[in-house]
Amino acid sequence: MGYVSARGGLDAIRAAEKLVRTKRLVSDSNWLEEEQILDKLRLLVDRVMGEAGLWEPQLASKAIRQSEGDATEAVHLLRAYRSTLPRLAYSEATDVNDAQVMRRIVPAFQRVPGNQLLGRSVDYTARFLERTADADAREEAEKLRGAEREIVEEKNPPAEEISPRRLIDLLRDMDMLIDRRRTDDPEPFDITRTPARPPAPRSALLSSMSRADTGALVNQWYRNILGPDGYLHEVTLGEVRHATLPLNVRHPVTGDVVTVTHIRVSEVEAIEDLEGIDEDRTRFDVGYGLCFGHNERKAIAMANLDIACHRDAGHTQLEQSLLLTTDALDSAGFLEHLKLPHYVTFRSMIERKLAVRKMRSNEASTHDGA
Amino acid sequence: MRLTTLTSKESTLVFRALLTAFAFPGRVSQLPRELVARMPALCLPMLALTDIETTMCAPDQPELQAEIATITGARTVASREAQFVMHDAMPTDETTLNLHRGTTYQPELGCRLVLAWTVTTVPASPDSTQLRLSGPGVVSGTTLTVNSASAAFLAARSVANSRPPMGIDCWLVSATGEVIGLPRTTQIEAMDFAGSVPGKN
Amino acid sequence: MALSDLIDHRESTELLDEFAKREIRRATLAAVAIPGYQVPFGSREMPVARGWGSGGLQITLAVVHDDDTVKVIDQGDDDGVNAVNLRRLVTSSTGADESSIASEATLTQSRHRIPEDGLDETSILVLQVPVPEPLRGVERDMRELARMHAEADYSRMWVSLYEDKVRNGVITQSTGYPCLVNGRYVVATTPIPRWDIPRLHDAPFLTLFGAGREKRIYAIPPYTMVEPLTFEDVPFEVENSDGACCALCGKSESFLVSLPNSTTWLCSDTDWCARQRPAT
Repeated sequence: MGYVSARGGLDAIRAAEKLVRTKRLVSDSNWLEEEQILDKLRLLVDRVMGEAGLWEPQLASKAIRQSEGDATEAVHLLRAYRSTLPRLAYSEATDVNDAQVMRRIVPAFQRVPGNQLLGRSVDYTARFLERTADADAREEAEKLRGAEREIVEEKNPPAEEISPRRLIDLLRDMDMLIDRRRTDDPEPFDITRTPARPPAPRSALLSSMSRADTGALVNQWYRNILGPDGYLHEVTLGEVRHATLPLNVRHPVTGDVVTVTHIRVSEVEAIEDLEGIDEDRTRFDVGYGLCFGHNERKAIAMANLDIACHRDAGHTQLEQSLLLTTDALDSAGFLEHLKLPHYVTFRSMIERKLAVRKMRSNEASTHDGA
Repeated sequence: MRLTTLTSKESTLVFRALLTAFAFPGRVSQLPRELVARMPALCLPMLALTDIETTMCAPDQPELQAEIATITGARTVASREAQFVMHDAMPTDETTLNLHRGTTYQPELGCRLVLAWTVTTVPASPDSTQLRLSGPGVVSGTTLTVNSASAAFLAARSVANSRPPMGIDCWLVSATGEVIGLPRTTQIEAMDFAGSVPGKN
Repeated sequence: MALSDLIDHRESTELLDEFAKREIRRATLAAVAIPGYQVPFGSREMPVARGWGSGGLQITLAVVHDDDTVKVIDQGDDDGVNAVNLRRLVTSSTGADESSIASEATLTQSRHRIPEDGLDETSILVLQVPVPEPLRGVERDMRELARMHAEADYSRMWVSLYEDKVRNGVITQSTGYPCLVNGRYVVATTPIPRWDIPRLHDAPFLTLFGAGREKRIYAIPPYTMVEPLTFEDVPFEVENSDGACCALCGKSESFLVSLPNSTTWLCSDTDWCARQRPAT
């Protein structure tokens, strides 16, 4: 077989780029507007912002469109963009009790102060795949447009319902909760500046999970908390919330605290039944989950894993697993790097196999000769 | 001379000189002359390397210290806690021995010390000592000629670096921007007047 | 620093902000001062994916300015698609020139090879590192790994190599052979072939190792002791080619890779190969 040198790496890349770009931009279907993605694929936008660790819905929509719907690819675009931006300021600590809820349920109790607010959720909607013709769906949308305005104009709900007292405060009132509140105020660990490895402060674990790949966290939950691989115990959820939070910074000139934007988060408290030998059997403990946007399964998994990690206290490698195997870009990037050329290593591996064979045949012939 | 923020390229050029200085300890590198003409060369390492996420101090030069802190955003702390420390004369033994040396788990926390230094080209004389360097990056035969104050500092430095991988890393910077790097791995031995190390050959 | 210093309203081609570069530089200086020690760093996300050279790229971007000349190779080939992609990212964002000739380059970024020639005291070699932890094969728990490095306790590594030799008759480590640097830290030499290992020892050039995914930078300074881990009676051996020669240049002095037929061999270092052949 004659050898023809394989050259033209740059040409190949350019051709591939052109192909991707052309196919992405040119089609017979309508132009996909960013607004459409924001509007109609809001949960994908929220998921991508959460996994990128960057709140900017407009940019996330752009990224989703550019990545042709590959969520992890969109996350990569956002994070790489973030790397080019200087850090201007730090926000003031946000009190999650300032949250205004759009949805709030508390599975641990039937009735709670501030009420159970089902809100915008498909939890109790039957999963029937709608096969309505487009024309009929559009007609329905027009009819609903008028009705939607009426829903929005309802009178304001009471403050107690907008920012209800959270369940763990109520459990504290009942003296049912272990008090793990700190009296000091340590700087939170910044995982974007310092890589976290076990043993790490809780803030490192929470930020890592907050930014983790949703599927990875769900899988970690299913493997470690409740599932065929690992069954820890009964889990009960306290708060499950979808809420808006103000983001405040100190004005660089006046020194006043100013609200620069509002973000939406999913927030979960997981109430933990303590049944370990060394644990306080008379009280509950709590785990906490928080992530950008409306992503309940991620926040629930996070809350459960937070308290599980605390209770594990380093006995297993759970902390390492959560800190280091749940990032979307680290895992997917490394996985896909296998597509890179590996022929130097492969050639070296072949050589070692031949060396082993040679050694064995030398030993065999020595043995025979003896 | 007033200090100014270094541009991206200026920061890179200063960094490269400092990197080369550490890669080849004892060998003179040159900081960018245009910068040295505009501001004290001694300040350039901190101006290039520090920012809001680092700590520093320049206890002998409070005005320069304040200026550097304002420009880079670095936080001013006590010398024993600082990641970057600057002195325009050889520090006392007590100062040197109290600098952070890192830990066995985090040796990278060891202090970076920037010291003013005068290039000595005269041959060995009663007030000066010739030293032989060895260790990673050191080309065989590299020597350093220092005065007695510097020799005393280098002795204290050896103590600070006596439990590797912990230790302190130094840059000696002359007024004209010449830099010599002495990372903690560089070992320094006094030579006698005949040019050999006492006790050897 | 004023906000206006940070927000440059011109269209910036920079891939990393100034603070990121400073952090990488501080970590790199620490790495050179502590040869072989894996220095943690923040590791920003890059336009290339994790596992594809994001660490090497960050080091290069922090080190290089527009007066530099950069060579980028993958498996020894300047024209490999990933090398091409990385090189154009570096040159377009930093303004540096490019060259395929190692002796012309002030910085060479490489995945899995050291150029056969051309590296001297003015060169900086940046190696892309998939897995910076040389002990991962014998230990998974990171707390224990940290202890092993902190206490220079590499006994499990030695045992593993010994067992390998006993079971197989030879040490079967292919590329990325573990080495002791400056008599203190064992390092993952990245998947460079054993062929390249001797050239790390007492080299005239500085070698920087960038692991972006695991967020570690380490270094081998020039003129530093680098010893492959082996036993007194088991000498370290490089890849054997049974005297094969390159089908293009006819030489056998460089590291050769073969086609699947295993009879046609080629230089992995394509630039070295091209320079052996008379210009046509």
